[in-house]
Amino acid sequence: MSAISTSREPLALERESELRELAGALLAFVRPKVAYADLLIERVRKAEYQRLPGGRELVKPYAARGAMTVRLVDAKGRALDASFGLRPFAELRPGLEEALSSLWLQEERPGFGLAEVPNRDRVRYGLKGEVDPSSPDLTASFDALAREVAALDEGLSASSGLAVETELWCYAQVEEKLVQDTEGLVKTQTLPQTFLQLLARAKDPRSGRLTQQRTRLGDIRAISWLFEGGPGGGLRADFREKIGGAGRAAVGLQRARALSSEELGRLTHLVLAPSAMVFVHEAEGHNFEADLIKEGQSGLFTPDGAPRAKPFGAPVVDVWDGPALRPDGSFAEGEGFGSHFIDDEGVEVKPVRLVERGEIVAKLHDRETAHHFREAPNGRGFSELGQRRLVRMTNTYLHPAAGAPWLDGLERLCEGIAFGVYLEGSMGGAVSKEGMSTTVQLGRVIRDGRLTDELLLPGNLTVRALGSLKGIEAFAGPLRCDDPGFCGKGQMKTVTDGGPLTRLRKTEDVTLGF
Amino acid sequence: MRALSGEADDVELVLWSADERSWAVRNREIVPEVSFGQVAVGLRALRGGRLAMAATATLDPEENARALRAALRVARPSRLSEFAAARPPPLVDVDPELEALAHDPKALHSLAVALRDGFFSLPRAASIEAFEGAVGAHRTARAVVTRRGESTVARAALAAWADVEGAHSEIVHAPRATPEALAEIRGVGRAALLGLPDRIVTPEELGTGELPVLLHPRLAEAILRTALQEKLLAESAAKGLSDLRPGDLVADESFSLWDSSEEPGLSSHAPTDDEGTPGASRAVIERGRFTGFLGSRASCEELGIAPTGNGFRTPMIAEPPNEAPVRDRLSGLIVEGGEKSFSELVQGMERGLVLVGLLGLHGADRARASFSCTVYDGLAVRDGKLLGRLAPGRWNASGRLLADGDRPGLLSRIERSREQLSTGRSRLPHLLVRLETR
Repeated sequence: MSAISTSREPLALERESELRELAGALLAFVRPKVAYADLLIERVRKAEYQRLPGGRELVKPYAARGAMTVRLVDAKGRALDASFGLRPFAELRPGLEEALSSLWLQEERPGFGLAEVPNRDRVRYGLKGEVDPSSPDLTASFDALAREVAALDEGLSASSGLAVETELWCYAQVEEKLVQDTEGLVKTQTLPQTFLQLLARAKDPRSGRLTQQRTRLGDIRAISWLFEGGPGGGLRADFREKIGGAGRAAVGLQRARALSSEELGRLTHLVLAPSAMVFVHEAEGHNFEADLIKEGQSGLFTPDGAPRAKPFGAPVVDVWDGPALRPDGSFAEGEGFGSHFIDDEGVEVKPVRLVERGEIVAKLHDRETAHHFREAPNGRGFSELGQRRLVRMTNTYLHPAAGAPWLDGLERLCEGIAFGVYLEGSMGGAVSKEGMSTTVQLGRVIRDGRLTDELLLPGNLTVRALGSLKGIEAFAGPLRCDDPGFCGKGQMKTVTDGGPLTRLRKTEDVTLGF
Repeated sequence: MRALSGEADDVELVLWSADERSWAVRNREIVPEVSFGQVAVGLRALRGGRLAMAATATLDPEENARALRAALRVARPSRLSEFAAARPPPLVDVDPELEALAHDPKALHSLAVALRDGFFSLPRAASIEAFEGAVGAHRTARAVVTRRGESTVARAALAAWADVEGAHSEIVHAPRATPEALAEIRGVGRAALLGLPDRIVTPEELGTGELPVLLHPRLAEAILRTALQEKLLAESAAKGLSDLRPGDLVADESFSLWDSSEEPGLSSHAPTDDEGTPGASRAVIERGRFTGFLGSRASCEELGIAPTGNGFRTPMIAEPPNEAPVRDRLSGLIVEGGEKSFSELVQGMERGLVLVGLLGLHGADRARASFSCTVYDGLAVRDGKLLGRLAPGRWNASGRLLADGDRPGLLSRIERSREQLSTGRSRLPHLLVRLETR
């Protein structure tokens, strides 16, 4: 990664004066016409690499996009969000005028309001990390990555007798945002991001059977994060292990089976790896988003903000959204693929404990929902590049409550389980008001208190929201919340989910199928 | 193009623009949302057998040229030797009455009010916590320009949807602002509530196992695109991910699946794909037999077949279309209607399901063309009558599309309803198949 130019502040935006001039002109135009307006300008510069089966490569050293969203609020609580491409003000003006005419058609909304943005005077947020399209460093990093993955495939093909090939998709980007309002607020954030997805496929040349396993890495870091001291130093050992693990799992799946109906009926427990914890995002996190709560779409809250269940979960469990909680009680600020320092309304992103000892204790808010529920904003208003800001999660994870059983390792967690399954990986999830569903990538049978080598095919895990935490019994191993994903809620938002290894008693709220 | 005349053997530019005006309905609130002037540019260039790619969000020729120059410096080997050279007539599918309505905020607002009020006119609405929907008019344009080719398409459409409790939704796509379409939009909130029966049916009450299942056209399209599509594409064949061979029997002999970019009124109607290759209307499964792979220029070249106009910049995950590489994808899916009406097919079921929505279909096993998903929207059928809605989160449906040895696939035994429905991009009937349920 090339260094940031020393001619400007380290966290200044690349074309900041131009963007602030555009924002100023736009806000000056609407100020006499509305009671309040704020805007968000976002720009992303990205470099990307893909290696497809057969070795075909696609390199995109430069991709740029940008857009803005403007919120107009009048004195009668009428409000709208207007999205624009980044064009000169003169080209935006007709659209703004049309937006204003739509605003005034709206019915009055006397209850509408926006919570104040805390810490208004701080302007700069973010981390350094530049994507320079002219830099050869990036393509060198991509090439180094591809070589390592190809070598892992080669080794695994030789040892397994199968054809193992891994698709690779990697990007590194810098996202910049500027938030301004008609009351003098100015905040900026510059954030790097690196994402790597690998899809390992194993094919038996004799039977033609094809199995696959996906794994991902991602964080708000420059691409150098992937390597030990730069591309010349090779991949970080833990990342090499994780990538190799996907290939080994794809090979292992060749001998995997499904559980029979009779076996499914006998299941007493599930043990979930952190990578299989997508239910925490889907069945917990979404239901704490206060816009969904307000609109009656939360399975855990009534529209007036009251929890639907009390207690909600087992007393051994907490749920958090935000940077991961370290063993010393501090938060891993500036880490996590879903992390931001400020949201897209300029509110600082705070860690939020959503569930404490099984009780629902908080919600995730943007400025509008914080005002609606008369609670403090916590920085969860996010937009995907110029779209309307919605309440979104960041990094959502289970954490053992104070005094909860937190054991040494997976073996200890399996003790006492007569017949259970250990589940790893997820192909993403989906949620409805009642619950969630995901495809887990790999399983292993737990029999008579021991983890066996009997591998299970990908299966469908369903969890009903209201009962999702009732069966949690114990935890083991370190907290991991580093499985990156992209949450869709009409818009994409980077997120992670996780927790320690978690033992879950099989209840009627948890279903596994093949 | 001019800026790079001496620097590249061929250049391809794809430009998208979009404007959207909509009114969102959130319970009783109706809130406007507008989006103007969004531009996305996808760039590719060829030089010496190498392919360069870049993307911008600007019409500034200099910035686009700079982006492509940077890409040319790290271009990688490609099977493409040149870009498309077709110059089909421009397609402009813009209904003047729809355009007038789109530019009249009061008219769009009144449609949203009617949608909301239709819902709340039903007594049952008082017991519903979550009702949402929207009415929108959008205008999109796409141009594909190469050194020797050019194609453009511009279209406008109305869309409306309504969702009740996140458990049942109704959607309207209208390429014309006809009185019938406007009436359907006004009534979509009411229709969504009427489509959600009070009575809830559990798996224990109806019984599970292998059941006849009528797939709603929207769900049928989603299953075909998610779990089957990969097997039909040239890039899958080239990668060894599809073992199909032209002529293979893959479905019931009464079943044909058409891939078409020529169906007026659908968003898949376009003179070319996203790399300027003219599309067509062709059966990819004809009377049960697979006819041949579909794909983009590069993957068809790899298979040694002529390009079929199925190269689309279909985004995956967080990609915008202009940043997505060209991928092989089906265009509009067309399945002709059968002999029996939807009602007759329901009447023929002793015990079965009508499925509208599955959760997590994106996690389908594409390698095995199979899925196993939780049901979030569906109806139970007993003795030929709709019994009630499926208990949310309690039902699971799974199936495999293609036969596996002696085990028939979902397509092996299939019936079609007489009625077809436009999903916006495709036109399909209800499909009666057999799925494993629990």
